[in-house]
Amino acid sequence: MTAKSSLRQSVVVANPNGLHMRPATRFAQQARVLPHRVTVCHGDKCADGKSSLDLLMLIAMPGAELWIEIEGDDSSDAAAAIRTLCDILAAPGDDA
Amino acid sequence: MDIRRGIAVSPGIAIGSALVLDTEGVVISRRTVPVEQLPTEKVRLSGALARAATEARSRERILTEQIGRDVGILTGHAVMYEDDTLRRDVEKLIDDQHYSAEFAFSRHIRAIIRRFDDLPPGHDFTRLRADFFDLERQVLNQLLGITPSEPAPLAGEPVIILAADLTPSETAQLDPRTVHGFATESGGPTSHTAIMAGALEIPAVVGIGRFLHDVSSGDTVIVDGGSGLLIVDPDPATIEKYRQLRQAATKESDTRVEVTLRDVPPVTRDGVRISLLGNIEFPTEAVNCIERGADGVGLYRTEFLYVNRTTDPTEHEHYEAYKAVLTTLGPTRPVVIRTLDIGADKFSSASAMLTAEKNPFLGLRSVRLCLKNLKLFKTQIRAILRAAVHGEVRIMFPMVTTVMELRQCKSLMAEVVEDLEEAGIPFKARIPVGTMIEVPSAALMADVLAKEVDFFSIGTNDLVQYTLAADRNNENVAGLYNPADPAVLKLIKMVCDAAKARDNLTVNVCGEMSGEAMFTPLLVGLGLRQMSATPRKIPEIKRAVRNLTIADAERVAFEALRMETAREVTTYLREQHRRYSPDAAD
Repeated sequence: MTAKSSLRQSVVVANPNGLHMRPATRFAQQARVLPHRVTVCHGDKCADGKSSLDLLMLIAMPGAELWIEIEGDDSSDAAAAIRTLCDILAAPGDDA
Repeated sequence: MDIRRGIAVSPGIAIGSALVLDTEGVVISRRTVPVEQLPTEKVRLSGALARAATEARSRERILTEQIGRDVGILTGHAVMYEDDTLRRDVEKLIDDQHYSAEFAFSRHIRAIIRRFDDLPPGHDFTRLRADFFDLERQVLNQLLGITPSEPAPLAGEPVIILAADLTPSETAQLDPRTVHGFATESGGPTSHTAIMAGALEIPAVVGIGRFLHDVSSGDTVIVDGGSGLLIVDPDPATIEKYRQLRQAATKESDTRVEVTLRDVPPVTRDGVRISLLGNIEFPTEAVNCIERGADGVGLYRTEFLYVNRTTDPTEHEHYEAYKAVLTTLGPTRPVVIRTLDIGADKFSSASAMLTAEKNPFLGLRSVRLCLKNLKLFKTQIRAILRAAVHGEVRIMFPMVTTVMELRQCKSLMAEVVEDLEEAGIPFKARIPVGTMIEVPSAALMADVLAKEVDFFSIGTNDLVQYTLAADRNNENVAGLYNPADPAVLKLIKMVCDAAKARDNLTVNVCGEMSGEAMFTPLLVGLGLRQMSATPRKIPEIKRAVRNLTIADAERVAFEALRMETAREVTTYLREQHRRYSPDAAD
């Protein structure tokens, strides 16, 4: 029996167009390879981090503060995973 | 029952079953399926999503190779097609509502798009709407097995088409035998779609605003093309009322106006013959001109040859289209062919020539475009000169702004004549050449232009738009757009005077204005002896002509020219029209 754990971290959207198509795509692609459940919340709205569509519907503009939560079997790479995900949102990318 | 008001563009009443067509013409005919078919629908959905994803990735790959960098948008779409949340949400609609895969997917995407609609105007995320429309389109194509750009499969039973918008060529494909009416969300009174509907004599209402979310294929709807109403889900009393109206209207238009007027000439009470011609857009409409007693074709639009295709029309295609009309009209009735009159954004070969124009109506269009694309232009001129052996052809150049443009067109014609002579191909070297007068500069310079041509044709739709600097399809400024504006009347008078001074050069009017009987006394009074309108309007105009004397008409024009506002002119012209044609329906 493995223990369940969850990690939570906040991040400010740095992309100049907000959490638009391309950052949402990159985020979802990254989240999908993780065995964890990934949730992203913006205020009281939460999205499945593996769904780019869901992420877009958060309508997160530049500067918005998001909370990323990952849950799953306790494994050492959860911390690394959440860092990678945060980096996608915190990267002042080029694009929409 | 839900009554929506739009712009009345083509009169008549249609009652029938709705067929909702989206912008590209995909028809979702099956909304629900039997319970035992639900698993199949879910399998179809998964398959369509997977294929759409594969296709998006492969298109992204091709694009990346072409431009040398990663764009990522189509990959973004692919990732969405593979989205479990999306698939599950749509599967739930299939399970709970027994929707077909197509209908469920479309419903779901439309609901998403509506959430973007609620954002404040100009919000950065609203441009995602286009992506979702694209997703919808791609998945529906996969589900329906449609390869893009294939025309819509139309049902065989009578329907009323409801769409966001219809392109003129889509409108043209509507068969009046099965399509009894249509209503669209966008479009204005003088859009090509509206003109087409009038030509095909299909009752139509455009510019209704958003309504497609609230209606589905199979719902009963009424299109009241005279009043500009769309009635969704009418109650039995309303249906009955419209049935009676429809019956009465059919009787009236057939007996009262047309039969009595078809075979009498358009002559004023004091014996002046006015020439009434028909405007057509497609070869098949030529016969309508004959049936309505037109003296010829005053405007043969040729844009249909260019739009909605990936290659430019060949000389042969042009030739056949012209020959068909000339053959129908016979050897003596004139046919005025207008060369290409659209913007570069509207058709394929030219769209590559330019980056998006910020102001296309003041940009590269019509004759400007042709003079930059000589191969395209020469092909059309060659076909016109060759077809001229079959009848009484006249050529007319649109949107001429300076005399230099006109001279260029003429020298190009001379080159084409030489080429044809050398090649020994049968053609007619000398055909009357005309210019449209549809920008204020052309009206102001009419005395100079008159030296270069055999006739003028005043295109009032554009002349009004450019004179008053108001887009007729923009509801915020459409109020400024008014053919009765004194500024427009002054320009028309200027053109008529210039033509008169040049040995009574022929002047025609071919905008919507000449199709409205209210303007007939004014136009005749300004000196016009030729008018061209959609064939359906000809009997009405003929009646207005037959009720006039030249002295009456000149007095109306004189009075109208002294007025200061469009409103005064409109009121006055209505009043005079009622006075001279009390039998008119108004």
